[in-house]
Amino acid sequence: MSSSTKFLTLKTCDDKKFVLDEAIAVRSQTIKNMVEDDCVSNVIPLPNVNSKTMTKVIEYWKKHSEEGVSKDVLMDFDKAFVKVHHSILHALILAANFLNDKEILDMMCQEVADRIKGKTPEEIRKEFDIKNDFTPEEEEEIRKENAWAFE
Amino acid sequence: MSEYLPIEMMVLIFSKLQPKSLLQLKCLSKSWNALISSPDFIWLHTQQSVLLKPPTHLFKRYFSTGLKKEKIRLADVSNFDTPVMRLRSPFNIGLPDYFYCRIIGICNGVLCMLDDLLDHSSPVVLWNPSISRCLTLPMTPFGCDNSGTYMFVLGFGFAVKTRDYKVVRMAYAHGDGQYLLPPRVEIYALSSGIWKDFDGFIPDIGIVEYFWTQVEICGKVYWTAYKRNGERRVENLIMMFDLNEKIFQELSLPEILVNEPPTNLNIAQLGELLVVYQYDTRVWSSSCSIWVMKRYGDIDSWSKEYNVALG
Repeated sequence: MSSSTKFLTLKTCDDKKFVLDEAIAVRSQTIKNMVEDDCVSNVIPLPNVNSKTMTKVIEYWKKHSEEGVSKDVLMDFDKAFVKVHHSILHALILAANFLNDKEILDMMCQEVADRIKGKTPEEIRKEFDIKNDFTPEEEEEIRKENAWAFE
Repeated sequence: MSEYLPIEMMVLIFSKLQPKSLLQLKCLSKSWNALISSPDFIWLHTQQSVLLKPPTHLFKRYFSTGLKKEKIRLADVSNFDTPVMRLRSPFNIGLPDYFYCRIIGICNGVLCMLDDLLDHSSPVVLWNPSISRCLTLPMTPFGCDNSGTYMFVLGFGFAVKTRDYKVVRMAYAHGDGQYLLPPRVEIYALSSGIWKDFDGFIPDIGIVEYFWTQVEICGKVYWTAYKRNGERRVENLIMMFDLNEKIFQELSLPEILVNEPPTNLNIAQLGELLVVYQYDTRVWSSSCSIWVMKRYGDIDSWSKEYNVALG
């Protein structure tokens, strides 16, 4: 480890601290801006991210910062990375948005979209725990209005 | 899910879906339906999926000699010859044989169409093929009962300022063996659903009946047009109507096109650039020169870029 390596401490909303190489942490545009503006004190608070989500994010950052990792390995890593419960997907989307990490945000949004594609409304409700609060008549009405989409 | 994710993130997710899937999601729950139907969402989705991305599809219009019918297909930009989707025409009930459908313009994937070959009183139709919806505009209060005594020129586009689709209609009254200037101008706004008289300044500029075309680029609609200059002389130019600012403006054509017969000229676009087609003669044309205005508003930037032989 070179002497120039700087470390940042990130503190999540549940008061867990993560010590991370600055070079890796600046994958977050939000953190990068703070570092560049020199407004980083000892600890960077992340009030919108919990430790469980941050662990996932850091896992991604570290893998994608490793040297000499082949594209295939990264692709396999990404594939496994997004295979999580939808509640974690949502948390990751919110975290990626807060941290301003377009790569993770885009990958997670793509995963949600992929889970929607080719499924019936019933299957989508099940996948994302969505409660159908329409009466049968109301649902029928919307299906009729958009009949073409259901052909 | 929409309960927990901000609208911007839902837009990101939905911009990765085909419009058809998006419509299906309306029946998931009340909050999903409300989100997908809301003007805010539709606007964000338009920005994300249409305005920020290069075009992915083209409309291909052709005459099927086998069926003796006009067809419109959706084709991939990269593979123009293979249609990806058959489109159901919005005029699908009992079309007369003489049916001629003018596509006035296409904006954000919405087509503005009109059958005005023989019947000036036919209504304007807005058609969004990607959600298979079409809207027949109400008749304008003016000039429709009297076909033959008026000639109409239309324009269609999107005004970003008010996030509104607009149709401009110029009605030229017939008198003294020619069309009188200036025309009467009416504007339809999709948000209000009604036609309103335009009360701003309207220049004394003529447009060639029937052969006219229009293009809309960034909220401005353009037509090739002409000014009468003495008894028999005309000078060609481009007329522009700004849908955001609601003003008419004139743009100059290259000198060589100024005294062409106005019927030989048509406006078009190449990317975001204005283009003028110059036909050698209007009927049974054998060639067409394509002029490009390379820097907007700069008359010296007009350049003849292509010559196309017409079969």
